[in-house]
Amino acid sequence: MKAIIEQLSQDNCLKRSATVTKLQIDSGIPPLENWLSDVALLRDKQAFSGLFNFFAPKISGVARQKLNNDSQAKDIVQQTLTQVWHKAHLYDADKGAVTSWVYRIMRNAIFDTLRKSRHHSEQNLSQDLWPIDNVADQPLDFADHLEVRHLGGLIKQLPQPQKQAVEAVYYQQLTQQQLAEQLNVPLGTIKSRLRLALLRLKQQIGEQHD
Amino acid sequence: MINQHPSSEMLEHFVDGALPASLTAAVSIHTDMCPQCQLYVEQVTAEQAQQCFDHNQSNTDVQDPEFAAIFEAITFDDRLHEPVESPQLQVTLKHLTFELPRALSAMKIHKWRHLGKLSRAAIDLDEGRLHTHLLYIHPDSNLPRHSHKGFEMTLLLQGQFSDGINNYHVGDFIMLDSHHQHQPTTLSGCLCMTVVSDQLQFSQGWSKLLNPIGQYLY
Repeated sequence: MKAIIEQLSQDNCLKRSATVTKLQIDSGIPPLENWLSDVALLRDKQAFSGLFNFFAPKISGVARQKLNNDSQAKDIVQQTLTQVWHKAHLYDADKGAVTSWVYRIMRNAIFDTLRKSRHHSEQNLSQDLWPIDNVADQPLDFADHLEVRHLGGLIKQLPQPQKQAVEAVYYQQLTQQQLAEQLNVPLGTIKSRLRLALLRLKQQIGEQHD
Repeated sequence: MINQHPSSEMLEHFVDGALPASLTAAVSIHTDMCPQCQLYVEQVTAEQAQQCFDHNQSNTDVQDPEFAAIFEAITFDDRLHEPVESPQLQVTLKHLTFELPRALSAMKIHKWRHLGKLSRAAIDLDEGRLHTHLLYIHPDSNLPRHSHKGFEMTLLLQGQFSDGINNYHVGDFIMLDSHHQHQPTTLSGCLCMTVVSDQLQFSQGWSKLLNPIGQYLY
């Protein structure tokens, strides 16, 4: 099964990089969303370097302006893009563009840094003030995005933890909270497995339609 | 039904991260409950993000030699991180228990102090001349009529009150300046978050950060 997914992923990468090159030549708009989903699903460093090269200089510029300090500005670049790398799967396109998501992460990092230097405060408040991590509670919208007749086969191909989460929540009708308790993992872990599963399924359905 | 909202300038400063933590928390709690302000915040976020990350903008420091090291440091650890969720913070006041909104969950809240039918707990944010409190007005009571030297922001968290001008409901974000006099009255009891400043505020300390707000508060 692993081989199938890898094969799918590789095909997808090849196809995508061809599309990307064409897109970039056509419009100059970088494919941020594709890069982010490749980072989430494949831990793809090439895709991450696309995001990094796009965002790092711009974040550095904004942070230098706000903090008036070069080394703190570098820290903001690192903090922001570290979150992009580790939390790519939590990005939700329904809540806005990739640029808005990265902006929120950057703004939060700058806010906490400013508070530390102005108020000698060690509290990081930003995640409570502008939560970025809170993954939507409502059922992922399978009906809208996915065709049910394709699902069975594709779900079988998901990595085990994601497959288990999808089957429990959608077929056995457990709540996400109940499943978290059964498996003795935090609720956030279940949410993030479901997000990854949806991302992967969407991508694969997309391929079948190409 | 929420009737009192932060001004659009305040929402813009909120998105920009330019408000002090106390007011940021109040706006955050309000927007969580108010779809209209939430929508505006999302729009402003998208606009500001577009300005910051304009793809046509030339990157003067793309070649920054430190970026390669930062890239390596970030991608060295391959794991995906799970979402972080803050535990819900509860405060108790005699026999009453209040669940506080997420925005306050990491804040340090001092002990309640009681004055007649009023109980007050300071929220410790170390913001100089801005003072932030939880305020509980006990049922069937009113506060003495008062006006404000600087500004007073009240966010209603639970219950309701009226001040002779309006009736207020949970989520209402009420900003009063020195021109206002009011006398809050509550039948049911109510819990508020308040941020109070005094006049000196805008000439010292926070001035740089708050002057844009000062312009429309005064």
